[in-house]
Amino acid sequence: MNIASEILSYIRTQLSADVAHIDLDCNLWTEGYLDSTAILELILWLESSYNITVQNEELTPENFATLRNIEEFVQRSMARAVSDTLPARA
Amino acid sequence: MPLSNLIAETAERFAEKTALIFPGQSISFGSLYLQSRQIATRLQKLGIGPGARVAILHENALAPVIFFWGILASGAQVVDVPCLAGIQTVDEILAECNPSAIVLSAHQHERLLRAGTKSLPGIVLTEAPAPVNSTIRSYHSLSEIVASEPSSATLPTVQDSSAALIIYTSGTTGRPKGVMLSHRNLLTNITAANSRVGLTSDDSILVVVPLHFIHGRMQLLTHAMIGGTMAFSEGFHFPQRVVHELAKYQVTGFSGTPYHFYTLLERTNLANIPLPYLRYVLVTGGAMHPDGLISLARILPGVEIHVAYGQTEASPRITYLGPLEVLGNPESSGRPLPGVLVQILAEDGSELPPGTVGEVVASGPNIMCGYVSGDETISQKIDSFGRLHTGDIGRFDHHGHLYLAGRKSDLIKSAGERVFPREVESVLDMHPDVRESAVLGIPDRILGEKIVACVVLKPGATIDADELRTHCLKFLPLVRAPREILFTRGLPKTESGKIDRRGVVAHFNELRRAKAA
Repeated sequence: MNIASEILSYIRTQLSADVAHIDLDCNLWTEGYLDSTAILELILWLESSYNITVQNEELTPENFATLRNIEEFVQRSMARAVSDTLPARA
Repeated sequence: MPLSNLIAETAERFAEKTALIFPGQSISFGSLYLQSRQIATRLQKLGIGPGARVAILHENALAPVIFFWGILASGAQVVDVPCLAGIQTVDEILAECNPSAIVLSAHQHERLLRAGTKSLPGIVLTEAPAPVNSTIRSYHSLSEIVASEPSSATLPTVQDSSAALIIYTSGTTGRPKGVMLSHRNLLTNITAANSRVGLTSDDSILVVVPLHFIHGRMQLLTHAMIGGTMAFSEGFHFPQRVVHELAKYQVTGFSGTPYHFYTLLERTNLANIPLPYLRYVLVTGGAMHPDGLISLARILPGVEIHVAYGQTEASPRITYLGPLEVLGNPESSGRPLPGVLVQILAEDGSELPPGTVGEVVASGPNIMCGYVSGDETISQKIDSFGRLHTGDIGRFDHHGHLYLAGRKSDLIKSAGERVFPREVESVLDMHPDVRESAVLGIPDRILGEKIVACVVLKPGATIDADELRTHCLKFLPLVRAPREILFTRGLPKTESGKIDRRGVVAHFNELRRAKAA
């Protein structure tokens, strides 16, 4: 299962049963699928599932509006986390 | 005075001034008034006027606000239906209040048609022409009404004592309760509240709460009264964006529940964004911990902090605490508003003196007309003296400040939402693997209270907590669903066999400790 599918599965089972018909580019927040408390739960889940950290200033529509946005954000954060653990070049 | 006069009088004084700003859209008070009269004229032609009801099931947007004022101008009653309510709840609400028409967003329209909702009224009002051909229903769009109806028709007058607004809120039995508020209820309450907060036409506000909450309607009515501009946030999902909206719209005010303020404090850089126009914030919809109020004062220096306490049945404000007293009495809910009498009653109904804890009871012109279901006295929400029993426990000090100390009822307040356990338990108990359940609220820094559940499964059942939550989400929005579910062999019971609510709290904490060990 790819990251977008995993996120969709989590949203569908743990945040809203109303998201059965959404695609990768559907706005999760403006279409009334999720209430505002969902974003905080989603972030906690993303942080623990993908071992990433979401900074306050990263909590934007550009990163979280659609499944595609979230997937790309997670991929970037995972890549950053890996590069942060590599030893710095002399 | 009917509420529709608020917009008529303000349109006369500030015809060109911007009344409402939504992302990409705005409207002046003058246009808002004229369009509301055009809607009222159409409703009148459809036979809708005093005594009739028109429901609104619509996310925050410009069109439903224009319809709101149009419905009031027609003399009909507005029925606010919560946007995130499950289909079953929407059906129950529509079946109970039997509206003649409904205002629907495209999303809600599609959702209700897909679900085959039985109680959908025959007249549907939408922003744009609906792409449907129906022989069962007549569709009327705002754009078509504004293009064709006159604004000068004679409209009916309504009695101040008649219901203007019906707001659905959680009921003790698990079924939603329709709170009927009259023109007088709402007008006296916004007037009394504003005599304390002191807003003028120079004020403006950023709105983050849904308008179907009394909190949202209060802001709408107050700003119509004063001629203040309302800017609507794109949503509280992205709290950092809300901070930028405060700056962008240069609003003087912001009103939120403790959930909103804690989220802004903990998930944004509120302290680093200059907000030179922000004059005040109003905390309502639940008690904020003194630490939170102190943090707010530190991060927003020079911004007045106002606190209000109330409930939908009181239209909604009961007490108020002003900026000069907030930091000196951060645990207080303030003093009663002008015209509102607040008493502390003992179990036997006698009034208790300052310093003694009892039930908080309120009376005055702001107390609701009743529930749509008509059981406000049977349920003892309204007593024989017409007093509202809030279900909150509290005491007065010798200076007349109210301090809340808990609840007599099982009410849970989570993220500003009012939730009675029975509503959630009935959903849990519907699952074939569940024998019984008990739902409770446990303290949570951001949400105020977190909804959690202790569940007893039937022998041989294998369902896990995630699956049970998925089941709940088929019937409840996330904000009303349990965020943590723990399984147990049995629930604490009273001698009469009922669930021992206090015992359940201790039991839940034991289960949690055992799980963590």
